[in-house]
Amino acid sequence: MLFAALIAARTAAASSRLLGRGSGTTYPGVLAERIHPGLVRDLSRQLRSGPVVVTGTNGKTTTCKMLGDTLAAGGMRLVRNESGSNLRQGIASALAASAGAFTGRVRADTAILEVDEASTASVVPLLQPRVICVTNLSRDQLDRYGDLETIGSRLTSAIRSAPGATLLMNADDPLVVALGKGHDGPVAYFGLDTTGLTDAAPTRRINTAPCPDCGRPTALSAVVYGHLGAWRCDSCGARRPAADFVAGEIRLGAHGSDFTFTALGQSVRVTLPIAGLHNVYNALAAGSCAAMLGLPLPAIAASLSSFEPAFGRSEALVVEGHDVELLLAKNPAGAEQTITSVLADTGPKALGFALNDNIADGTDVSWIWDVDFEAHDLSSVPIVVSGSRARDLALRLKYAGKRGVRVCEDPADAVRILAEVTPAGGSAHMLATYTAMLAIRNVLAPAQGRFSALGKGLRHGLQH
Amino acid sequence: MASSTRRLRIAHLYPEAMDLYGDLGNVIAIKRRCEWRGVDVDVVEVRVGQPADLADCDLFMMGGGQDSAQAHVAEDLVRRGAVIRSLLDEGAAALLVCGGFQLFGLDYTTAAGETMPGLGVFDAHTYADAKRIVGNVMIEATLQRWGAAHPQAPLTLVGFENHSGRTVLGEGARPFGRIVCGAGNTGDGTVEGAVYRNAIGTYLHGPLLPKNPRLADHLIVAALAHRYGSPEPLAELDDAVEMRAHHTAVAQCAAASPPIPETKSSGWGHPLTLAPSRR
Ligand SMILES: [Zn+2]
Repeated sequence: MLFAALIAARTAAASSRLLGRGSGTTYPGVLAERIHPGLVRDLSRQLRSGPVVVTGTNGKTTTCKMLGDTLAAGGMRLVRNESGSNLRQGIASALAASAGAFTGRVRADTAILEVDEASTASVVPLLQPRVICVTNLSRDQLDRYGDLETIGSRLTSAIRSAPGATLLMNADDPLVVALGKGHDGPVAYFGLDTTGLTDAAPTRRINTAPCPDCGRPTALSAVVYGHLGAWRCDSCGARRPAADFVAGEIRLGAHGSDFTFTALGQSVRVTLPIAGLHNVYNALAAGSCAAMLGLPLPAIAASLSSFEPAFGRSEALVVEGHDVELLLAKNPAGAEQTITSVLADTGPKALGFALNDNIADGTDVSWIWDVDFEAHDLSSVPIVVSGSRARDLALRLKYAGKRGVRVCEDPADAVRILAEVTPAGGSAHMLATYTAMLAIRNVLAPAQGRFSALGKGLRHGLQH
Repeated sequence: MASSTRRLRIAHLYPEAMDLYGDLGNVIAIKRRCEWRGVDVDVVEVRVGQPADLADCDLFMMGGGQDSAQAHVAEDLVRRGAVIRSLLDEGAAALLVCGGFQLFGLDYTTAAGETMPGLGVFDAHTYADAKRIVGNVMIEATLQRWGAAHPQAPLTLVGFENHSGRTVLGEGARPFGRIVCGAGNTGDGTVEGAVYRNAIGTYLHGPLLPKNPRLADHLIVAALAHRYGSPEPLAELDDAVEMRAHHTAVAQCAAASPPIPETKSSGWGHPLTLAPSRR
């Protein structure tokens, strides 16, 4: 049955490539699992170094890309799932594609799998990962996922189903630390040493997360952002666990950051070519995981220092002679970090925001009021708002004291306007929710979406 | 009108623990709309276990939170119950959204069957249900009209509901509004929220006030009346941006639900009558 399943997956994948469907392919996995229900378990069991699962609200894709690139540079053969294929079927597709159809053998040492938080409970028991890395937890599309407690209980049951896994947890996030309580296997922590970083982080809203031990609100003595930082509980005395993997002596720049990565009694300096404190976290998580899998620290530092971001997180389009950077924004913590890193470069610029409220974006758009626009000086930055909820963005920015905001509901037209209002020699940045980003890409990057209409029709036909 | 000398004091209840759905936007809306009219606002932030002087507050604001936060908040809130209840009896205003609405009711029963007492401002019991109610909402609000000679036009309000709690109103409670589209207190699509004098409890996030500026102004007038004795109209503002967002949401509700029986432009420009202050 495995043979039939793999042949079917291969054929489905080949026909979808022919139709230009590209990323986000889940159909081969659906088909293969229907033919051989034990597929994920049987294939992942063959991985010599075991699968690695990366989950959490923000940073999954970038962390997986960093980790995968680092391990590949170190000579490991990998199975990877593409961004957007992080549900069960996408993972099955990735594993099926890596196996020889006739031998049924997986030609890889490990699998670096980004897994959607909500899918962990169904995927992790089958994968029995060697490492489960949780990046952070914050509110994300509450209409779809429910609140953090719902996500937390799914992750807890996932972790409980893999007692042999090593957990790699963000020590700075009390919600993540809570997930590791009671785990039978080893638990390792990564965290930031933010000494000297105070002036780099603008004052921002502090949220408190419940204490992992007693559930009362925690206090933060050093805030990284949101509810992340050196937390402690004044009610029961619990505090941030000591980190096994640390990023310290952090210097944030407009186009990148550098930091000292300390692990297993050794230290190396990492020069990360992408900006933002959130990317320091991503690099730290990836570096920690690579170190756990046995890669030497200098090799890790070299790989992280030459990192190229994943497609779709941040990509450039050329519109009316201007480079427009497209950035995915889907929740307050992620949007906040993206804005902060865009503004770290103080050169002239224009900013766009495109907010759709389709199911894939999240139908609840209230999260834009949790983005601390008030903390950023945008007085000299032309702003364009777009999407089906452009009016909500215009309202949000009015109450944040921003003036002269342009409204254009069509996201692709908004990008053209953004290019027009960009000051000479300046940069243009468009933060967009998922479907707004697709709309922009389909119109302005036709080479990538040439067969998308045909592909969509066919995918529809196949699934029903 | 000596507007520059007027001031308001807002109690923002549990700003970190109870701000799951952008409810901070309600506080931002009140602050801005006061600021634009020269009304000074100071905000007292109330946190679990920390002292806060509520005696001089005109407006209470609280949002929604996680179940686990709610238990600690409920305990703390009940401890401050006497002072809050007496201010609301005097005509102080309140906007209590989701978890805030639930905890200002008589009690809240969790999915695990534990019942935590609330403030009892609203004659309402809430219990957690397995199924979440999620989606856009439009209601016609009927605000309390003490001594009003003529029935006033209902106020159309738009928001987003996201709750697993079901709130059942008792005999002594009056609903905040009638559902036009959405599920409401118990999910049956009839009534939404509750009103006690100038205190409003509701499941409407969105956040509610920025997109419903009339309601924001109603609360400001009520809060000023609580402080200065009699309701006075506020200076008009240019609400074009607010109303465009409002109308977008109205159109979305209309598109998502069966035709609305009466589509008269409801209530804009009609002054809202307030519960009189006893001060
Ligand atoms: Zn504690």
